[in-house]
Formats: sequence, structure tokens, C-alpha cells
Amino acid sequence: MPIADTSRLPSIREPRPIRFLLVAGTLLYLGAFIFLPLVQVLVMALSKGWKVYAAAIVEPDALSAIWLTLGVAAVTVPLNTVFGVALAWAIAKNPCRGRRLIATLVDLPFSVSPVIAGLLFVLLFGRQGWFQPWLEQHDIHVIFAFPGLVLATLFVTSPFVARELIPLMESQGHEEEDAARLLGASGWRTFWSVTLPNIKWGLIYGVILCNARAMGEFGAVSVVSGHIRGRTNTLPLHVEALFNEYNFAAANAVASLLACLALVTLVVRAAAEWRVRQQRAAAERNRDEH
Amino acid sequence: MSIEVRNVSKSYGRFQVLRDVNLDVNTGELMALLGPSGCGKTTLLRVIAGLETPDTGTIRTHGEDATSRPVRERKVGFVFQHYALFRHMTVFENIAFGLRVRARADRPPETEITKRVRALLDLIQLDWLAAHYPDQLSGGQRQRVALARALATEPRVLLLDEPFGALDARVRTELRRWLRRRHADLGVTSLFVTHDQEEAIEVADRIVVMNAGRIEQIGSPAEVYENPSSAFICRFLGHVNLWPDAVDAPGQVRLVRPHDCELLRADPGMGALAITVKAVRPAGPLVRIEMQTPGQVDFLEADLPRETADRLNPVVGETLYARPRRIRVYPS
Repeated sequence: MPIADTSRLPSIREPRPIRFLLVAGTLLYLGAFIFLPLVQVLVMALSKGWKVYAAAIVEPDALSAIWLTLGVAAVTVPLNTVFGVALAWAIAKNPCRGRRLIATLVDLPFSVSPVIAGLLFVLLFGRQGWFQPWLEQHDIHVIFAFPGLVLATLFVTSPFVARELIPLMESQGHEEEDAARLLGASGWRTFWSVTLPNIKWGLIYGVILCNARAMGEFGAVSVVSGHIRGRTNTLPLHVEALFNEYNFAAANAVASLLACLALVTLVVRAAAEWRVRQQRAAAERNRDEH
Repeated sequence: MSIEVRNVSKSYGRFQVLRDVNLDVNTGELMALLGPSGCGKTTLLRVIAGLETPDTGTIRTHGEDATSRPVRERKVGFVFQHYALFRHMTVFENIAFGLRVRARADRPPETEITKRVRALLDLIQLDWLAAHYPDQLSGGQRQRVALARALATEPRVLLLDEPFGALDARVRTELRRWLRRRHADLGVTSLFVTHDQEEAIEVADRIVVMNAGRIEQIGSPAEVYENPSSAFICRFLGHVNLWPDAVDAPGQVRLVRPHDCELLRADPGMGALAITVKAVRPAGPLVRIEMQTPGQVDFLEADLPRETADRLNPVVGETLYARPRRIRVYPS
């Protein structure tokens, strides 16, 4: 039976002035820090008309930045999805020693400054780096090239999927997996038929967050990119370059693309949540019929 | 012999859960593993299923050593206390799962799978719920689906972990009577864990009583109830009074079941206890009298048949004489 909505009872509600103050404060905060900058980006982007806006986006350097950003995301997001699922599975479904330590290490990329992370890869793969002799021998370029961008982005975005899934998987326990194995399913089959469907929406949400960060990452990528226009500048780096040239209309035009990505992320997330609510509601309706 | 457990011990860190357990379950019997929480009964069940590994000892099912065999090859049916149904699959798909995951060579054709699932849905009387999801079912319905799912692969051994534990009293009684009636037709050897002595007595052919990782007694419900081998079992199976003793008998516990207690108006002498009536509670066919002896804090209980109670008509506060028909004496 659903629990009655107690927030409507006058005995539980806060007095009117306090409610007004809290709601107004929240709206003001959201408006000032989220809505206003978004509007500002769009207004600035279109300040010199649609033609300038379009030109800033189809210009070769901008197009190359778009493709590069999509390319980096296309490599890092699948890798971090697989890594995140595997890690969450290992931590949440296996009561092994040291799992708390691993769970803490997962968060490391969040606690390290992205710039430091970028520097780390320069120290490993750069001119004076550890792997330089071997890389030179095989003519592989990591720093100031695509692999470096991928490595830096991988590091920075690695926690998103795992962090989303670990609490979810821990709350679900491993009884369903045990049941599947007792019924004769292999580990692989159990994962695909039982574990994965149960974490589907959490996984989708984690991937969305991971993708948003992969495309929007600035600090780590900035260190390893080398800022070669048309070659190693991702979208955020391209925005910075345009901004530094006082080309505000173009900078904001390209930035509006990233803002669009954020909006798309929000829409997909809302759709995912709506979908879950629909399923729940359908389940409740069916139950009420009987 | 369907299940043979030999010298099985297991500990978690310094806590020993199972101490040298030996158990035989006969083919086709319905056996209850009874004990207080933390006595190791669930661990023993999980060891037999292969969900836990014993530190020492062996498990044999149908004469084959299963100790080191992986869970999926043991072919035991297992029913979890909280059902563990696959939440994203319909009732039909839940029951069909065990058949669908078989290797192509052993997998029955789709028509056969449908037929078998339908038959099981009939058996659990839930055919009208085939297309529903687990979260649309009541607890009793879920548990029946879990049972059907475990039976779908036609296991010869069925293990049930507190199968009725999460259900309300009425559904629990219904479901365990249903299981009792159906068990003979199923042709499966079953071992179920419970902490409810009434459930064990009502359902099982034989009862295994466990305490602190050891098996204390194995026997039919009547044997275990009538001749408990220890004070622990006597106390665990049904109500019992710790009988105060007039004669000094150090190192002994004297236990009297409430229904073995006779109440008299006149002092019959030898062995009778003067008591004060504290409460009279009619409970179905019996009337429970709560009483106290001078100098004792704990209440004693006597269960009288309704007729006897009516004839005696005890009044709260009056003094009567309690005489045990049967005293069980154990070393303390």
C-alpha cells in the first residue's frame, strides 16, 4: 500500500514565510550559477548573427576539434564502461580482502587535480619520460598526440561508471547470481542474463556522466595536448584558444556546442528516470488489478 | 542415501560455525534442520549446495563426491528465504531459466520448455500470473514461484533456506501444508532450514536439531519432542517449565512441559508444589494458567484442557497444588 503523502498535512508543513524563503533562495542560486551563464553563452555566441555563429563552427579547426573530441570519447567511454562494470562487480559481488581499499582507490582520479594527472602522463611518456627510449625506438607518439589525449581522459573519467554501480550492486546483493548458478548458468551467462539487466539504468546514467566529462575535460587534456590547432585541440581547448584571441563570438559559439551536450545529457537522464518510473507504475497497476 | 555429510567443519575467522557435522538424508524424505539463529544450520545448507566451501570434510550426493564440484554442476534445487527471483524476468521466464541455460545438446525444445513451465505453474496454482513480474506478487506467491523455479530442472535434491520465514502466519501455515501434501508426488529429497519448531514438527519426516555448530539430535518429530536428548532440545522444542525442587539434587535440571502439569485443589502430598494463580488465559482448546511458587521469581505455566479447567475453575490469587505427571531430568 502506498504511504500517504504527509507533506500536504498542515501540521507538518513549515510556516509560509520560511517556505517562500527556502524556495526563492534555491531558485535564485540556480538562476545565478547555472541558468545565467548558459544564457550568457548563447547570447554571446549569437551576438554577431547566425552567419558568424555557423562560420565559427564549420571552420576547419573547429571541425577538427569536434572530430577529435568525438574520437577521444569514442575510445575512452567504452573502455571505462567495461572497466567500471568489471571493477564494480569485483568490489560489490565478491567479499574479497582489500575491497574497501580498492573502492577508495577508484576515487583517486577525483581527488587528484586533473593538471597533475596530465603532468603524470607527460612524466611517463614525454621527452624525458620513463618509456621514451622504447617509444622512440618504435616511433610511437603519445604526448602531444591522440594517444596522450586518450590516456589523460581515461584517467580522469575512470571513476564515473564504477561509482554509479558499486552502491547499486551492493544494495542488490548476490543472491540472484547465486540462484542463477544453482540453476546451472555459467558465470558469463549469469552476468548477461542476471547482473547486467539489473544494473541497466544505473549503467546508462554512469556512461552519460562519463561521456559528458570525457568531452568536457580541460585540465588534464590541456597538459598533454600541446595545443596544436587543427590537430590536438579538443573542443574545450579550442574554446580557450579562441577566447585568448579575443574572438568572443566564435569562442561562445563553440562553447554552445558543449552546453548543448550538457542539455542532451540532462534530457537522456530525465528520459532514463522517466522510463524507470513508467515501469514501476505499470507494475503497480498490474498488482492493483488483482 | 541422497545426501551424506561427513566430518564437515567450517569457521569464519576465529568463529567456528560447523563442528564436525555428520548427517545422512534418505532418498525421498523431507528433513528439517532446526536450531536457534546462529547455530550454523544455514551454513550447513549452503555448504551442501556448494555456496560455501567446508574447511574439512566431504559432501556426497547420490553416492558421488560433490565437495569440489562447482555449484552449477551439483544439480541441487535451492530456495532462498527472500526468494531471489530474477526481478527483470516474468514469472514464466524465472521458472524457465534453469532449462534455458542448459548447453544446446541438453536443452529441451521450446515447446517442451513451455509445457514444463505450464505444468509447474499448475502445480503452484499460479498459472494466471505467468506474465507478471516478481514485484507484482505477494510474498506467498513469490515463494511458490521460487519453488517452481527450483523444481524446473528436476533436481533430485531440494534445499530450502527458511522457506516460510518471511511470510505472515496464515500464509506460512497454508504453504507448509501445501508442501507437506505435494512432497510425496515430487519425488525429491528435501532438506529445509527453520528456526520454528512447530514448522519442523508439522512438516518434516525427520528433524535434525543443531546447536552451536553441532548436531544435537536426529529423529522423527515424535521422538525429538517426546524424548529430547538434552535440556537444550527440550527447551527449544516447545514450552517448558524449569521445575523447582524440594529435594536437593545438585547438578540436575528438572523440566516439565506445561501440558504435563496437573493442578489440584487439595494437597496430594509427594512431589506437589504449592502455587499462586497469577493469570488464566484461554487459548483455543487449552487454558493456560500462569502461576508462581513462593520464593521464585519466574512464572510457571500449566496447560489444561478446557473441560478440566472449567471443572477446576481456578481464580487469580488463590493457592492450588501443581503436580507434574512427567519430569525430565538432565545434567545441568
